[in-house]
Amino acid sequence: MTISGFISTILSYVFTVIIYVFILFVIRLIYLDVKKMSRFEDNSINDMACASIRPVKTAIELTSPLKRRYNIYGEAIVGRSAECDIVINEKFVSQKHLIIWYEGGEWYLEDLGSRNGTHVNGQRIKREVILDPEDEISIGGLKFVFDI
Amino acid sequence: MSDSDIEFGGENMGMNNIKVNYRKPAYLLILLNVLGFGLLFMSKDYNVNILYNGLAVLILFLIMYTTLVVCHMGDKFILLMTFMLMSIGVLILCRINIKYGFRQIIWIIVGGISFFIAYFIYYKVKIWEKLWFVYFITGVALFMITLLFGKTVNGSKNWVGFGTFAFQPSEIIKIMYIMCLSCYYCGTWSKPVLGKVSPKWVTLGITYVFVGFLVLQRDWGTILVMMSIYLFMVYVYEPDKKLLFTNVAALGIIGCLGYKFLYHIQVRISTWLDPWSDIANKGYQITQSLFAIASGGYFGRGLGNGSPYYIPEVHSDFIFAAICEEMGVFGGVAIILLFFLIAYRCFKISVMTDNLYDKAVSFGVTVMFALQTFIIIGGVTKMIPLTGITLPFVSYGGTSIVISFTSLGIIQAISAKTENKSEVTEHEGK
Repeated sequence: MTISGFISTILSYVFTVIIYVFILFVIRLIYLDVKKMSRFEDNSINDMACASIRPVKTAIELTSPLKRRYNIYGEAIVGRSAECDIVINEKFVSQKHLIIWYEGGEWYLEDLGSRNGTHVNGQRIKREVILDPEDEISIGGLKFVFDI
Repeated sequence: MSDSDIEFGGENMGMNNIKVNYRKPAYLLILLNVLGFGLLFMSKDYNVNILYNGLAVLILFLIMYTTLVVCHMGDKFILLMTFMLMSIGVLILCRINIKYGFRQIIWIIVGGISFFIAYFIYYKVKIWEKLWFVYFITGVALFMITLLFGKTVNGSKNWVGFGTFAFQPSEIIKIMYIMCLSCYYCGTWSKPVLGKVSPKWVTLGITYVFVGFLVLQRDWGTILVMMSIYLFMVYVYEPDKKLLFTNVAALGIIGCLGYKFLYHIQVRISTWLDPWSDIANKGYQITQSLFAIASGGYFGRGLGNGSPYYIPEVHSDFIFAAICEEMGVFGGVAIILLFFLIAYRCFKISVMTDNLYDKAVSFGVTVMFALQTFIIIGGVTKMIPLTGITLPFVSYGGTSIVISFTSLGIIQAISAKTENKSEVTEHEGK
């Protein structure tokens, strides 16, 4: 057997190891990639509680159009300032108007000391209330329907 | 990039805080190439051309991979795995005959250029789904050219040559066919043709027209691939399964008739069932392939120690047998695993994209790759009857390499579209 033949016999094992380690690395990278993707998707939708409010058509003129539906993941502050999770840029909405959050299987709503106040099903709220699906939330003249 | 594979951000665990290290597998690929080409350099009487070949593969890999990672051009793993397959292919080709290896590298460079061209064209042009007629006409025109000017090689008339340059139009037709089918299955082409005929029957007609041309050329491998692409498309997209079963039944009948009347097919089946009775003649190729695979053992006899010259067509169709002989069963299984992973990534791209046309095209291309691999590896290992077809990215063959790269460029463009779109929506969200 020649020298190169001998070396290539040894290297045949090395090649096998290299190829398999390569495949392992690639599988690991793909695994990380898939994990990254699922974290982006699942956290917001599956792991955390999710609800939404949708505006009801009203006659009042709005300075900016509303979206058809606002999603709430776990907790959301509604208000005029850009820091809020749901920004509604109207004069009669306070900077930080109200907060909706999820706790122990229930959705709560509390007014954050707004000037014009918040009404749930027609009643002005003074302290935190539990929200049910199809409850009507009104801020000034704007009306939203709460959905889970 | 840091040494650790994964980094978590401290406070806000956003999506962008995982950093994936793309370098490690690339180092391994380079190591394999350096060792392999060094060994060949030693065993082939210190022929410097081998080192140039290896260098060309490495430089091309580095250029393409860096461009992909730096410019955020979609999925990075497909190209990585493709280059692994290609390096093994070039190594074996250089070992069989340095002339083949050298030509293969030229084709790979052409393929790399066509990869980027296909990427940019597919990425920029937006009207692909409206051009079904163009694809059909191109396909028929290519078939006509093959029938008129074709050369017969190994019993099938599927080569068209201009001087020293020759190519296989059927490889291009496969891509045209997939794009044509996708036009219907993505839903944009719903208007009936010529007043009454629904596009469903038009696609069926196109399939059988193409298959008819291929029968005239006696290119059985391509028929198998094309028919299977159609069946897979119907299986995935058609809610009513009657069409699928009717087609399968029709194919069965056509197959039986072909077996009864065509000598060519009879030989294929009989050598598959029993190659040993006519070992010196008809069964020679497949038995030599089986001997080669068996003599390799688990880890192979080592690069340069085997005797692949006994197998006819070892550089193109039977390259898998040579790989098994010199790199062992584990090497062969690694090739199959790499193809599995490529198919998985492509299917994932197909699932992730929103554009229905892109979905259909990437699905079709993936099915094409997977089926070609299955048909030729199955044929070489005598699992299914042998049909001559190239192993994508590994076999020697200009058209095969260039078209495989082009279809890879299309898939890459689709994945880049999806990736860029999700980045845009993320920024809007913030």
